[in-house]
Amino acid sequence: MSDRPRVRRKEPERTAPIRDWSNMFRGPGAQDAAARSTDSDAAGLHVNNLTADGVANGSAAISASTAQTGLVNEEARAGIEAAYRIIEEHLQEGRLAAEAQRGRGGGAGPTAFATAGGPGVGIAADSIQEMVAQGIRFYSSLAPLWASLVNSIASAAVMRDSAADGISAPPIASAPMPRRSATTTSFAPVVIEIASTRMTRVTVDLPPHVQNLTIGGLLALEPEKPPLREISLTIEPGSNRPLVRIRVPESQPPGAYSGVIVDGESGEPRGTLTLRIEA
Amino acid sequence: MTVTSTLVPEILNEYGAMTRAALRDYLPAREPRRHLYDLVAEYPLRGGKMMRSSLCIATACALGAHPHDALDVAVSIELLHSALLIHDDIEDGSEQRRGRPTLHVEHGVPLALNAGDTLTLVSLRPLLENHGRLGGDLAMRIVQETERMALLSAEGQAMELGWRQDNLIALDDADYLRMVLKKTCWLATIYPIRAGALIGTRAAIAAEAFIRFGFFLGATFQIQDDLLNLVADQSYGKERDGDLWEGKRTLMLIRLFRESEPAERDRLAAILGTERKERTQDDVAWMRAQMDRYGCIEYARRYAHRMAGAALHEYSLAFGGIRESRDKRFLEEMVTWVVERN
Repeated sequence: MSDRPRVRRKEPERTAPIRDWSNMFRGPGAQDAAARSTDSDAAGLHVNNLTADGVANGSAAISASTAQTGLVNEEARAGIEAAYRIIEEHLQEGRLAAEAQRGRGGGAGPTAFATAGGPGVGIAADSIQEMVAQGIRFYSSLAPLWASLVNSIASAAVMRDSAADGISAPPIASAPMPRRSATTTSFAPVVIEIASTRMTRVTVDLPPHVQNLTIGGLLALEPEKPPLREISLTIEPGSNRPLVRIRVPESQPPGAYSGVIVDGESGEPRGTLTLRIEA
Repeated sequence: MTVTSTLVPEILNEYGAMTRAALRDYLPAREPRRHLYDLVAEYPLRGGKMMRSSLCIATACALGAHPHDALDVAVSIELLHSALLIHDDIEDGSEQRRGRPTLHVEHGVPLALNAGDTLTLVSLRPLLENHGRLGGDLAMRIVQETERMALLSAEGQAMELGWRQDNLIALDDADYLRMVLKKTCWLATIYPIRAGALIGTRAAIAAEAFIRFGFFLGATFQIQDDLLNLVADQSYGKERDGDLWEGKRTLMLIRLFRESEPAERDRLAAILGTERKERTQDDVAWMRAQMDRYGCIEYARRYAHRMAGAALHEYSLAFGGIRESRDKRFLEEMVTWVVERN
């Protein structure tokens, strides 16, 4: 057995985060390709602070390629870098296309799949986001029903209490319904004031005759997008209609932001509000 | 990567035969035959490697499906591939396909074009009938993938044709890869593997699964295909040096332009600026000799090996956690086979 000390590779020193392809690969000092061993580990590829799958895969792919060709040189590096850059650009285009499709309410686009199972076919962020989007869409349609159900239950409770007090309450079936005029719709008229330098679209689902409303903020599906906090919900003086005021900061990323309108006292959901900022 | 796989030809034969047998059921056997349906049947029945269909079936099986679960999609892939080949041959002015004259050379452009259009429509039928075996949701998901693939393929073809029309030669390797990604990789490797994965997992794959592996495998395949066009023997099936006659923007041609002296570039641009029928044997021989002189063939060969290395790496990421099987081994050995085939 050799009595030479075991060769250990120096710990790489991070001097700066790697943010672009040009400084993606850093060997320990300037190196002549011929001086590198054919062993992929000893080829001197130290990758610091990998910030993207493509960067990580690129370096590992160079190792795999190195093991095959036996030599790392600038030509190999440039080839692999270029290839990874191209495929990552392509995947980003696909993500943007899928985002645009989701924003149009088209549901799961061709690039958004259901949750995965098993190693090697792992759950992607797109899949989780799609689940959340489906949840919000489901909840958005459920909230008005929920509001109606709560009102019905509340009405039944009032009538039950009234009966307990000896007051004769009419059967539920013949309970008086709100009179519908020609201008009555299923949803409350809402006044919206938006301060924004970009095109925005607001959708509000709110049943009529609800009072004492509040809204906490609007959230995007993508966790990296900050919430919209400059939002208030009051009653417009004079008209008694809900008044929503929203200010969209210049730096707010484009996309869809949603929030639940709740009863200020009970905290029960009453409706939803979605704001879409165009790019 | 020095051992030539025997598993790959074995599975290509097995799944290829299965696909070819099933494919016949979709080729209409009615009038008009002489001017339509006989032409429609020609390319699918001429044979071919059946690589695309085999990738689809093998991926589905590697992920737990039965081969017949993926057979309809495999048939659709081969029918669509044949349809696009008919159109490609017209667009490229190719004279040979799978060892015989191209369809438009045999029957004229109008009939060949119509046959290609019909074959495109015929390729939809297996996808529509898929729902019985796979369920409506999964069948529709595969249709969506097919639409995406078809559009990207058309975009890639448009890129390459546009370069030729505009006589653009001052391209770089990245331009070539972008074009190949769309023109070749989506139909040849990415889509078949993703469709197989959708079937094998019942649509439970991540959004970007297998795209990187498919890209590197497909790029390796295309570069090797371009090399074979210049160096292969008679068994190759296409016209030797056909790509030079067509002025196809291959990695070798792009490299040649980049390495040439100014006067040589001028001559190259002049040759490529003419129609195919105006080019001479001397023009083609000169371009071929220049490629040897500037080491363009070796350059592309090294590039193909690098892409293969990246493909193996991506394979390990995409399939690493999946249980070992003959189909999984086939997918891995495809990388080697693609770069070493002749």
